[in-house]
Amino acid sequence: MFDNILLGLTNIFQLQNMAAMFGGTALGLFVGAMPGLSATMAIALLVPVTFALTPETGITMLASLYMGSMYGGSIAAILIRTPGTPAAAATVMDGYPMASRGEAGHALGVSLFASFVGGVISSAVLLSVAPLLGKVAVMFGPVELTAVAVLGMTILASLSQGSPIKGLLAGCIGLLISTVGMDPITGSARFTLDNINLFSGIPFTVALIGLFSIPQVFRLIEKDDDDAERIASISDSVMLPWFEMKKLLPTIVRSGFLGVFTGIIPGTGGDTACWFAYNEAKRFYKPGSSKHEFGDGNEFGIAAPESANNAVVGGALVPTITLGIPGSSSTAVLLGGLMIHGIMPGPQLMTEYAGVTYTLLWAVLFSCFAMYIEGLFFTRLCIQVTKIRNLVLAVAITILCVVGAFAINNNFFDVGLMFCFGILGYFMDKLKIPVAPLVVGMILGHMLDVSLHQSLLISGGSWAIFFTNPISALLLALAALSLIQATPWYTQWKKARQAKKSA
Amino acid sequence: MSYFMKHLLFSIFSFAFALFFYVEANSMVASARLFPQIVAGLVFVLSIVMSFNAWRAAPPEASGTKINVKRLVTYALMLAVYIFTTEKVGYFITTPIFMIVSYLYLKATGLVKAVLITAAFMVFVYLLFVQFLNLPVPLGLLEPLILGA
Repeated sequence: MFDNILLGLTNIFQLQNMAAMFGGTALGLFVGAMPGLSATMAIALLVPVTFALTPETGITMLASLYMGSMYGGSIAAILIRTPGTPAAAATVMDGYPMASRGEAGHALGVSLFASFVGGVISSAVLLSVAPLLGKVAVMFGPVELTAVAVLGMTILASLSQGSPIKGLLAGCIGLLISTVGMDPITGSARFTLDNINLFSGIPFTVALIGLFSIPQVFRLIEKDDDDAERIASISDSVMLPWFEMKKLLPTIVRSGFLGVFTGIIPGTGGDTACWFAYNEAKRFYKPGSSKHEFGDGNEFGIAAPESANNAVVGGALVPTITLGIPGSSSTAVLLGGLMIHGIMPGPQLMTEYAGVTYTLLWAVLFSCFAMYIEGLFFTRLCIQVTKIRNLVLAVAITILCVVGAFAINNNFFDVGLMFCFGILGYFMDKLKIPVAPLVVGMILGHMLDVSLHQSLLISGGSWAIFFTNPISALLLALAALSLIQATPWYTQWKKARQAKKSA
Repeated sequence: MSYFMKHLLFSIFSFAFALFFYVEANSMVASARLFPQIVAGLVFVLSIVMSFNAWRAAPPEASGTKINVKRLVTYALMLAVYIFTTEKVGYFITTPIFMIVSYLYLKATGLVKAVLITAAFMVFVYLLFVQFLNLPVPLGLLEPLILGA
């Protein structure tokens, strides 16, 4: 294990990986600062570009972009009262009022410092927990893997935004899509419609670009540009004085841990964590600690959500790396970045592909430092980025989608597929059917199909094997619980219990 | 369109999608059809439940931002035409046309600015994808011209 940690550390210090880290972080800052773009979409668009790089360099760039965009999202939230990413939604509450008082630099400084500490906390957890969990996960056989995949799907679907039924439906559609192509067991073609382009399955990256980028383009097109009020310049310093860092540190650390744990749970991401941390900061707030109340430009109200949303990055990567189950749509896309290099998700990520995986772990940590340095120097520049019109961005994104989808297999059929996935993603968005479970279904489909088949071969066709194996039985029980807690009957029962208690 | 109707249409789509997988799988050997047929069965059930839920408990209509449907559909059609023609005509011919026409149609910028943004973007794509990453870009009509040079 220590050899692998050292291998990852050596890799990250290679010149091309350092360059990818700084480049990815800068890109993340700019993308996050643009209100029309999401981190997931940017990662999806960057995946084809990383195809030409080594897996280590590519994944470093993608992870750094993810980390950078989390801070970048707060720039738009603070300056134009529009969160650059959904994870920065809570930052608007106190960020914009503080900026309106002429303290935009201070607000951004609080956000940058909190993002940095939150990111470092999550990297530390990731670096210590992931290898240990990974050691357990490699002992899993097909029976346990089937149960892990079922658990991952049910948790993700039941905790996704919208109703659990919609999440489950999206996940199952993803599983069905994953079966297109050659059957991994018999080698026969399935659902290919005799189209040679479908024999190797539906390219995951093409689906990602379509699902995350085209709906975003359509969302930008369907509305007229709004002339929102904005802060045009930063007059004060972004660097926080030491006494203020010390004052904010307990809130930031607490929010960081909240972010990590929220990130670990599949289906919950930065958008949940930021509100969770904001509310907790309010609860722990001692009146008089700040000159301003919550909602009126309180620095604790900026520090808490910003620390939490960056901490989600490391948390969400824990199940992604150890079990191959992405904790969020962004980590699902990151996994897609590995898949285009032939690295398949699952427990073998920590063993067979240890070089790449441990490089990723270190990249998450060092990208926090890159983010802090670049944030100090480039935040002022990001003001210009927030001024780019959404309609101008939309057309440029469209072009990148087309060239990116084509570049994966040098095939125009894929571009058409990307467009179809885009249309599907747009309608799913309109109906509030979450896209993340569909993507995770596509990722887990292959593993689930193979491990289910292998398990049934081991048991001679008996399904009882999933209940007689203690780990599998426990995981499936958890899956059942996650489904039960998502039903309306459970909610009614909980409400009735609370009413009884308070009576 | 009502909340229920939108969900019903998506349910019909997902049901039909799963039905295709279920029926196609019937002609496969048992081991190849097991997984897709189980999942297709789940999609049948979930599609029906989603529609039922939408009928049972439709939330009150939210007065959200107005959507410019005409602009959206026109842009989607323009994109479809762009994708369809690019393979034959070539990326470096269709893309500038698509970009400039889109900017003008969407009233995102004036003509001069649209041309300048397009030119800068084309140079960026060429340098990044073709020169730096050596990734292939469909050249179409320009292929004999560029490859011959």
